[in-house]
Amino acid sequence: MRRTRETPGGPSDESLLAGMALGDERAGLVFVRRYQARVFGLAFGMVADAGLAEDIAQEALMRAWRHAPVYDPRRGAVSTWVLTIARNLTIDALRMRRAVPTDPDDLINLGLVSHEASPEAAAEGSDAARSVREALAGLGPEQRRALVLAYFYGMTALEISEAESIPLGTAKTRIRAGLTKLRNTMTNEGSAR
Amino acid sequence: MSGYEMAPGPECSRYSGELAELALGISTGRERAEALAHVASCQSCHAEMERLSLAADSMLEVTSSLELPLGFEVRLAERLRAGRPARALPGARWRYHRLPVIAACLAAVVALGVGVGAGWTVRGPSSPRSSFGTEAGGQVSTRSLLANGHVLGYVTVYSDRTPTASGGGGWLYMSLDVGSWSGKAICEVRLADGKDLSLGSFWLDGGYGAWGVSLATGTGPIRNAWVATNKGVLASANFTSASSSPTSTVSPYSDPTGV
Repeated sequence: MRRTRETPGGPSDESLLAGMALGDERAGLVFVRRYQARVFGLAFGMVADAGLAEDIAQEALMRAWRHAPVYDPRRGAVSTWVLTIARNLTIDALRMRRAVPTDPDDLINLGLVSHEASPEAAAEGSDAARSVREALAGLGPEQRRALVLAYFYGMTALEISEAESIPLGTAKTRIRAGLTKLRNTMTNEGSAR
Repeated sequence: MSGYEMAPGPECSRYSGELAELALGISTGRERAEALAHVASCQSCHAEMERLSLAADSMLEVTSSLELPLGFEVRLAERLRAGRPARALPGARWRYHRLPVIAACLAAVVALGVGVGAGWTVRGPSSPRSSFGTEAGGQVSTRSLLANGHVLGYVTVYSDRTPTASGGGGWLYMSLDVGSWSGKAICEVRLADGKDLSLGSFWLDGGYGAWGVSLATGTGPIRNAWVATNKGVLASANFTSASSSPTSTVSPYSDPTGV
């Protein structure tokens, strides 16, 4: 499936959401067109099923549009808000349909390797995205897998321990160490700027 | 760490391991409740929890945009049309009334996108009353369908003004919600030259209906559009008024009180 390029410029996400909250359908249209490929990409990366990913992406976009009035900018960026809606829907879908999630390594590779594979793909990503990719790449493979299983698939420490055939304490340690290391890297990146 | 953040207390070490799972949203049971209660009362852990949550959410950045499946936007438009909730939902009605309009705009994008790809230009005032040009040279106008000053729906007209051998055409799309009545509705328009045209009919199901039609090439500018039943006019839209307020549009048509 071909990767698409984000369109820079145009009204800010926040202004689009404000317009949507006021009933401006064109703001909603621009918003949908801005995020639909990204939301679909996230869902597809998690479920590896185009039909299911489309269902999830469309539901996520509808929910984002409906809930535009309650978006709170203090709680995070619009992109995080929209993608979190999609992520939660995907986790629900995986649970309800008992679908087999993508292998965590594949999901990570979708974001890491592909972006680094070509200059065009590398230029596509924002600085923030590059920083996160590098931070994730700096984690140990077990910690990275544990984080992906927890965050993208909503698996508890117990579920991870069973899936990875490791003791519960080890799963908890990997989750904690992985996220703490990611936090440290992101914090250092932030203060270095 | 902010200058106002307090140092970790003796209880913090007990919950430090739980914070990561809380931030990832995978905490369960009593541990979760206890950790949340502690975070709510401990400034230091609250700040740490926020940093961990930001780190967790940053993972969303590694996800990639992917090319959409063919027909994605068409199906999304269909869902937006069908996705309205039960009409009894208080307070949300105005928002869901916009769903068909979004659907109409998406339909416009789909229709135009064939020729112009992803690019089109949006200009003009805010909706629900809006007009804007497209890079394909056409004009998209949306007006409220009104009955006694109440918005019952929307009508969108796309006029292809690109000079072509055939003279160009366009389409009209309308959606309305009149309450609980079901039956046949007729869409009629009055052109700028005063000529009335009946464009076709569609069914309202439980008061709701959405319908579209291609306009024949050579169809002149539309001055008014309205929806009627055999008992009278349900709602009408005026495409000629310069006012930007939909409520200021004066409907020249009768109110279908018998419906």
